[in-house]
Amino acid sequence: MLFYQSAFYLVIGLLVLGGLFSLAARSRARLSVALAYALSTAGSLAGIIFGVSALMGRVTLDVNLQSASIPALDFSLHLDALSAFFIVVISTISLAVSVFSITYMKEYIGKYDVGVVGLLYNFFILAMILLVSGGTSFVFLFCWELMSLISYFLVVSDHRDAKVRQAGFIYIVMTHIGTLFIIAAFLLLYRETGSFSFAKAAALGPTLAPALKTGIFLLVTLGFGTKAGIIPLHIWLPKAHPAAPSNVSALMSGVMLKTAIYGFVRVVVQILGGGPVWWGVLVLALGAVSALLGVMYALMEHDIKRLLAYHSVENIGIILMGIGAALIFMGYGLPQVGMIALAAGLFHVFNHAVFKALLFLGAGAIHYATGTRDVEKMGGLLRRMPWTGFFFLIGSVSISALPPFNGFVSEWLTFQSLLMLGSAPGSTALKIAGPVFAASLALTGALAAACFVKAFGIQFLAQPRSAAAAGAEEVPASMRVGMAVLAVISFVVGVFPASIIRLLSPVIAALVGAESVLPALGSYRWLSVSLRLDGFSGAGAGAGAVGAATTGAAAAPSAIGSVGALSPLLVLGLLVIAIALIYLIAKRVGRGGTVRVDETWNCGMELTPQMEYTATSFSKPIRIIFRRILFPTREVEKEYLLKPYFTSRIVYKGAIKPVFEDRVYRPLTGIFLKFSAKMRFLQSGSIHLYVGYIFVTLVVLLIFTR
Amino acid sequence: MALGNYLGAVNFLITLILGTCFAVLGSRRMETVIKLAVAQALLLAGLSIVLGWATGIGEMYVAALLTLAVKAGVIPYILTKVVRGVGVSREVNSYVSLKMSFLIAGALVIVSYLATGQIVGRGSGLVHEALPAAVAMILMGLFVIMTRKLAVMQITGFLLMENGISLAGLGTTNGMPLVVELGIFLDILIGVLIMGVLAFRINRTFDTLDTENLRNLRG
Repeated sequence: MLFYQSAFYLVIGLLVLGGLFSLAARSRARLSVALAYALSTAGSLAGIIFGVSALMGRVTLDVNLQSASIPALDFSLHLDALSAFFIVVISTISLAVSVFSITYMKEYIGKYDVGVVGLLYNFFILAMILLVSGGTSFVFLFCWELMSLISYFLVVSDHRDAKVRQAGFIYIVMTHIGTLFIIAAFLLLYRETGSFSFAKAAALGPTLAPALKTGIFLLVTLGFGTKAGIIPLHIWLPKAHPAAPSNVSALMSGVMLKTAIYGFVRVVVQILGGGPVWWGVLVLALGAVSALLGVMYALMEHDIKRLLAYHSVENIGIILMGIGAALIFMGYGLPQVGMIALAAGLFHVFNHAVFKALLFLGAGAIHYATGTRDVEKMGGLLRRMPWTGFFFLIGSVSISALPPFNGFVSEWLTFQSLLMLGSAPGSTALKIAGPVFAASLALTGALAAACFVKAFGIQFLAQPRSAAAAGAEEVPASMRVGMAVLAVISFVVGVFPASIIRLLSPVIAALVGAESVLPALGSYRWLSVSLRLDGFSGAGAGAGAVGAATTGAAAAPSAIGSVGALSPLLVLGLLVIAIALIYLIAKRVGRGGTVRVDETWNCGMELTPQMEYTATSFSKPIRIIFRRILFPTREVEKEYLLKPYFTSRIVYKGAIKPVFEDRVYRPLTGIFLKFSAKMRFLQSGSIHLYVGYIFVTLVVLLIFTR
Repeated sequence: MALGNYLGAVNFLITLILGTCFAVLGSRRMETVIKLAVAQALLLAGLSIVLGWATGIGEMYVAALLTLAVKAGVIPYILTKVVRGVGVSREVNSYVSLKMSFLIAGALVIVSYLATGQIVGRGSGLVHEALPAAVAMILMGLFVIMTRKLAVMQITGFLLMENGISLAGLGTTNGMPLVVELGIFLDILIGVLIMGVLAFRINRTFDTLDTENLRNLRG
C-alpha cells in the first residue's frame, strides 16, 4: 500500500514542482522550458507506473481529505480501477507530449511567456489526474473547473490574435454551459443521497426514482457531451484546438475530451447503474451522428489542426457508440454482453488518445518546420522530414482503423458489439438498427481513411507548394522521440491488444460486476481477442468478424458461444506474407527490363507544384456526394486576357456552410442578445441604484421568509 | 446560567448600539459620524467584555481587544486622514431626506425583528435580541451606502454593516474561532484602507467625493 501511496504522491509532487520551477525560472526561458517538461515527463512516468501497478494489483487507494469543521468540503480521493485506467491514459499521453515539448516549446521562447505556459501545462495534467482520482463530486467539479480554466488560458496563449481570443471565448462559454448541466446533475444526486461522495451515490443510485434517474442522465449527457464535443455541441472544438500550441492541442484532444467520457461512465454506468434501453439508443445515435458528421467536416478542412479537431468529434462518436451499445445491453439485463461493448468504448478511449496525440504532435512538428498549418501550402515533406512523415503515417493508418495498429482493434470490438445488437432480445427495430449503426461506423472508417489519404498525401508527397515547405528540415531529436513513443505504443497495442484488455479487465469488473467473463476477451492470452459469451449463440454476429481466425458462429447454441475472434498477430503475419508475395511476383514479372528513373512526363512542360492534386480537389467527389449535408458553396472569378481561351487569373473560393452555427447557435445568441438589450435599462451605471437592488432584494427576502 | 443576571446590561448595550446607528443616519458632519463610529465600536467592545465575563468564554475578550484596536483605533484614524486630506466635511444632499431616513430606518428595525424571530426561533442563540438588532444594523448600513453620495459616508455604511455582522457573531455563537475572527478584522481593515485610497482618487479625478459621478461603467 505504501508503494501505491508514494507513487501517487510522487506524481502529484513532480507535476507541482514542474509547474512552480517553470514559473520561478521564467526569466531564464531555456532553463524554465527544460525544468517544466523534464519534471512533467518524470511525473507522467510515475503516473504510468502507479496506474499500471494499481490495475494489475487490483488496488483501490483512498486519500481522506475531508474537512473536519465543514463536512460538505470533502476533498477525498478514491482511486479505483476506473481512475487508475484513466491515469494510465493521461500519463501515457502526457509522457510522450512532455518529451516532445522539451524542444518544441523552444520555438515559443520570446513569443509567449514560457514560464507561465510551463506552469499551466503541468497544472493542466495535474488537474486531469486529480479529476479522475476524485472520490466526491466536489473534487470532481473543482478539478473540472480548474482543468477548463487552465486549458482556456493555454488556448489563448497567443492572445494578441483577435481570432484566438474569439476561439477562447467560444470555448469558455461552451464549457461553462456544459459545467452548468453537470453541477445540476450532481446537486440532484446530492439532494437524494445527502453526500457528495461517489461511493454513497453509487450505493443509492440504482434505486432512485426512474424519472429522476432519467433527468440526471439527460443532464450529464448534455454536460459531458459539451466537453466531449458531440454534435451539435462541438462548435468550440475546431476553433479552440488549432489556437493552442500543438503540445497543448495534443493533450486537449487526446486526453481532456476523455475526462468527459470518464465522467459519463462514472455517473451513468457506475452511479446510476445503467437505465432503460432508450438511454443506450440515444447515446448510440448521438455517437453515430457525431462520428459521421465529424469525419465529413474533417474531410472538408485544409487546416491540419482543424482537421484533426473534427476527427476528435468523430472518435468521441465512436467511443460513445461503444458505450451506448453497452447501455442497451445493460438495459436488457445482459451485463456480460454490455461488458464487451463497454470494453470496446474504453479501449477506444486509450487508442484514440494515443493516435490523436501522435497526429497532433506530427502537426506540431510540421508547423515547427514550415510555420504553417495549411495543408495546401505543404507537400514533399516526406523527403525533408522522413521521421515525422513515418510517424504521421502510422497515426494516419491507426486512425483509419486499419491493421496492424491499435485503432483497428477497438473499432473491431465496437463493430462486434453493434452486430450483437442484431441477435439481442428486444424490438425488431433495434435488431435492425444494430447492423445499420455498424454500417455507419464502417462508413465513418472509410471516410476517415479517405481523409488521411488526403492529409498524408497532400502534406508529405509530391513537390513542395511553398517556399516554407521547400525549406523544411527534420525536427530535433526530442520531438521525434515523443512521436516515436506514441507510434510504438500504437503498433504494440495493435498487435497485442490483450495488453490493454488485461488492464481494462478490473475496470469492467468493477463497473459491471461480471468478473468471470472478461478473461474470455483475451483467451489466447497475448495473441488474440475472442468473444465468448455464456448462452449467447451469436448467430448473426460471427459473420461480421474481420479477423483471420474467425471461428464463426457456434453451430449449436452451447453454454459458451464464441461470437468472434481476432488475432492481430496473425493479421500482421498475413500482411507481411502478402506484401512479400506481391514484391516477389512483381520482381519476377518485371524481370529483364531496365529501370529508368526520371521525371514524370508532362507533355514536355516543366513540372510545377501548381499541377499537383490539391486537398480541395481531392475531397471534391465526397463534397459532391454529401452536398445535401455539407452545403458547399463556391465562387469562381476569372480574369481574361482574351475571352474565353486565355485566362490571366482565376480566383476560387470554396466554403462549407456552417449549418450548426447558422441554424442553432446564431438564432439562440440572437434571442439572448435581444433579451439582454431589453434588460439593459437595469444597468444605469449608478452605484447607488445597484446597492439599492441589493437592499430591496434583502428586505423583500427577509419579509418573504416570514 | 450566569448570563441571565447580565441580560439587562447586554440588552441595554445593544439598544445603545442601535441608537448610534440612528445617530449616524441623522448627522451631516463627517467628524460627528467618525466619532459615532468610535462610540459604536466602544459599545461593541463593551458588549464583548460583558458577554465574556458572563459566559466565561475567553475568545470574547480577544474579540473585544481586536474591536478596540481596529474599529476604535486604526479605522477612525484612516477616516479622519481621508476627511482632512480631502477637505470635505459636510454631506451634500442625500437621495432621501433626513426625516424620511429615520422613518425607513424605523421600518427596517421592525422588519428585522419580525423576520429574524421566525428564522432563529424563540430562545435560541446566546442573546435573543442580538440577531434582530444585527440584521437591522446590516440593513441600515446598506441603506446608508445606498442613499448617501459622499464616499466617506459609504465607508461608514460599510462599517455599520460590519459591526452588525460582529454583533450577530457575538450574540448567536458561543465565541467564534479565533481564525475566523482574525480573518474578519483583517478583511475590514484592508477594505477600509482600499476604500480610503479610492476616496482620495475619486476626489482627485472629479474634484468632489460625490460618487454620483461614477456612472461610466455600463454596457
